[in-house]
Amino acid sequence: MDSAALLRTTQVLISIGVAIQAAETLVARRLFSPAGLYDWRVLSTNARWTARGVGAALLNVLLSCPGILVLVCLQLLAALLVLSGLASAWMVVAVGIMLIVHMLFLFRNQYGTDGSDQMMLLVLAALFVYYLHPTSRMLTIVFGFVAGQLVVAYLTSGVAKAISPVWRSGKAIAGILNTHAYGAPSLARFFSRHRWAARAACWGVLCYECCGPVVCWIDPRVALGFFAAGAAFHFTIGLCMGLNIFFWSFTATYPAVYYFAQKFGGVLVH
Amino acid sequence: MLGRPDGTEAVAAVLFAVWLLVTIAYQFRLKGWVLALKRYDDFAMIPAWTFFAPNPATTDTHLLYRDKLACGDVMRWREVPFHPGPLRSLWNPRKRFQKGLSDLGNELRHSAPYHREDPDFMLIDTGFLALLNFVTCQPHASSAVYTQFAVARSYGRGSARACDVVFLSRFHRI
Repeated sequence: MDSAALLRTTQVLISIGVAIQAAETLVARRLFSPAGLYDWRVLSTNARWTARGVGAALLNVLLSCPGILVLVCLQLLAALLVLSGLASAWMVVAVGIMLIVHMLFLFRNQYGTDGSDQMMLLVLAALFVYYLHPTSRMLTIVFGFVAGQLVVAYLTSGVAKAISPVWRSGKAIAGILNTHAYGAPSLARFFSRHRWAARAACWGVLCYECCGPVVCWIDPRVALGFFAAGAAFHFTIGLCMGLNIFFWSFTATYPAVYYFAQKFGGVLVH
Repeated sequence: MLGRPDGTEAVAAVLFAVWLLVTIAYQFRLKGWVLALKRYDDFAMIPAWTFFAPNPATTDTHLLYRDKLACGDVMRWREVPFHPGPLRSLWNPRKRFQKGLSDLGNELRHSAPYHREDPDFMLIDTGFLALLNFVTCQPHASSAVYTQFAVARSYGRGSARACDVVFLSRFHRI
């Protein structure tokens, strides 16, 4: 697969994630209104400079309602333009809009965000820098950064699970699935009845996160297996726990890993 | 072979390398300076990658409130409802509410003990104000004058363990 196709795959996957997230924000707009949990009048009191002065006045325009919703509409439009292929001449602008609005959203909402938001930020920042200076070496640099972040993400998560007695005992997944927020009652019941399955699921996640990022560089075919397992893993998390954007944010990093698996995989094998 | 990197590429390479190294350092909380840097990370540029580990989220956070009427009577507790949508693997606009509530509940649980000596300090806590503002805007009895909220934690479906109240506000004027 050539680097242009890999770049396009990353663009498409992250833009789908951005578009879904932006549309969800617009649907849940009451949360960001003066009566909502994320009322900017309250959130702006977190720091003196966001509550008073010239900077605060500008932020009030951008981050209060309807300012933030207008920005999110722009972000949605930019994502749709990238997906349609119409923004190819203006890619730096479209990706820049997606990035800046996402950063403002994270700045505004200091709680209620998750790892998919963080990975989205990293991928968008890497794409933006590439489009500022689109050379083949810059692609290697930004793909190196994105692939590195994915490896750190999976390894950190895997090691944190490996040192956790709750994960090693197999009780973690059943416990998570038994909650209302992230739950899937039928699966939770299944795991509570079949301890071996619960333990296998916990150890499967743990081994995937610890070993996957290490072995995926060996060969592009191994990398494809790693991606297939990762896509299935994130889709299942979305299905059972409602964390739907993780799928798009994390699979958007896979082309970067594949880029290096293609480049160095053969060298490692031979 | 590619030639020497130009200036832009060199700057980008250094910046991304530093960003990645700071990310790695933050995962293991290796140095005090990383934690100090994180305090200024308003754009969430330094990620934390320990998803659901080492302590998985096996509890739910609930937001409850009750009103005090003009006559002095106190109404029953009501819970702010949360219903996960049916297609949430593809489409989940409600997750921000649930995650926000969970984050705010954790913040209050940790910050409340620090304000025990002088509870008035709690009144300027952003998390507290966000919840109070949200609760104040919920439906209330027509003659309600004050409202009080509680953040509670439950331990999963069918759990024999009773809910904990992790934070209880005073009565505040609506």
